[in-house]
Amino acid sequence: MKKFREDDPIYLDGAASMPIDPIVLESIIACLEKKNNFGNPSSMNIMGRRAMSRVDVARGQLSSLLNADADDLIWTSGATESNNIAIIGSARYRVNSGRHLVTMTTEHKAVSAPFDYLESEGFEITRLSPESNGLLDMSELKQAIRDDTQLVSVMHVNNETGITQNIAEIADICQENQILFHCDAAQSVGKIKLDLKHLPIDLLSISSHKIYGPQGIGALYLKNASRNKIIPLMFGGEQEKWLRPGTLPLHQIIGFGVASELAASRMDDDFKLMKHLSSYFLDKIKAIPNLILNGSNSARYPGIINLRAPGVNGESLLLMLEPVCVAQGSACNSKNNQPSLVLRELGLNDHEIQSSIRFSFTRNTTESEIDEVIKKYMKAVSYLRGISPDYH
Amino acid sequence: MKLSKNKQHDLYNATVMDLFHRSGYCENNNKLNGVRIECKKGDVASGSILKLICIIENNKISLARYQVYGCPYLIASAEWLCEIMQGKSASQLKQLKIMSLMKTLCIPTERKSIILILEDVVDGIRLQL
Repeated sequence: MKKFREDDPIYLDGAASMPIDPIVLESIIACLEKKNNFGNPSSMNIMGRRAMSRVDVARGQLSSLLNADADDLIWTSGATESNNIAIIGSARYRVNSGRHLVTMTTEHKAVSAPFDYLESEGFEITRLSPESNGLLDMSELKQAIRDDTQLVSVMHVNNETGITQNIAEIADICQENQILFHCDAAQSVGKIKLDLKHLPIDLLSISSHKIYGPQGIGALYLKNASRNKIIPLMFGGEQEKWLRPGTLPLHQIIGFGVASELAASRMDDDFKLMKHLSSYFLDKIKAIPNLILNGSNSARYPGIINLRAPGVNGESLLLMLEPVCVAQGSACNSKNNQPSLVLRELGLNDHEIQSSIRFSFTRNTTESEIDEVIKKYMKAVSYLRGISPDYH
Repeated sequence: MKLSKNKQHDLYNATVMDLFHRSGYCENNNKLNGVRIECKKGDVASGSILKLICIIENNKISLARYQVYGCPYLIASAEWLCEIMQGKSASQLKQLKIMSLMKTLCIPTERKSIILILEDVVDGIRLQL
């Protein structure tokens, strides 16, 4: 069994960002190092055309992962930008056909904030709460849909709890009602099989660094991109079908493409590993009294576990666990010190939210790392409960 | 390249880290002997509870210990407080400049309530001395 030094970091924060795969890294370095490889993919000269052909290869790799048409993929800076373009851009384009939009209260801020913004433009937003297990009640969705509803946005895998919504059923409901369906799939692409030729999803947000690719690059899938219109949020170039101007970052796109190909080939093995690690973790953690798993276990992506330790302040627990890297809520929300809205929607009060921590695995996570984390976690929880004036 | 002095990239400064991990004054076995006074402030809803337990000799605090539930700033503050309270009389406790901890520990403004809890606890102890 591997011996860990006190200062050896153990990374269980894959939901925030995955470590870059060595093969991906190699492809990025090769791109940056290669002589005469800095052409702008939009340039008409030979270096530009060579660069664009490599962009097309990457687009093909991502489209294969999703079983989508490569022409329906738009490079962005990440899932946050994809969400903004999809939600604001499509709502504005269809403003004359309706001002009503539907989403969930448990969405990532990258989705909820664009909806808040659209509200200030006069759109009416229905925010559906989940059931106590975190899942969307389909009858509530059907009831929320009105004649003037033009867009529904529901995330696939929740970044804080791993709860996985039934997007096939949501997509069918939207299709029956001729409403656009947007899905923030930042946490599921490359981990759960998505077949966009058969799933009636209109808009899908994708992130590279959640699938062991580089940070700073993502994509938006726009079904029938040539026909489905959205109004761009930025102007200044005709790249990405006029929807997203700016010079394409060649090395990031190449890395994202390679990460997509690797994800496609490793998806089954990765999922099996996540299931195994999750069972292993939950089994081992039984040794600690009074711990509660937040959210449904049956509809949970196994790579994410959100645990509550009553009597323990999560922030202090996080610091005691260092150099183990885990998270309290979403990384994109960590600076504002506000309790997680996602956990609140599951019925937890502020006190319970403060006691919760997210563990998320990567394909590099090992059993011995989990053993070490649980050892530290057990010690920290026991200590913090021991010095608490109210926990006995 | 030097970073601006106001730029704090680590959430907790070295003093917070030192005090948090030292935990020399935390009380978790309830085996203090002598004349004992206690004060507990804060509540679960605010996420911060601090209880100070002091042993009194000759109208001075001979030993101070804490029990705490809260964030690292509160734990570090409790550690600092116990260290500084030992040997103090009621009038000396009144002179304590607890607000200076805001600067020493770089406590974010939105967590100023930690200082208020500390002040309340010290007042509670002082009034029993």
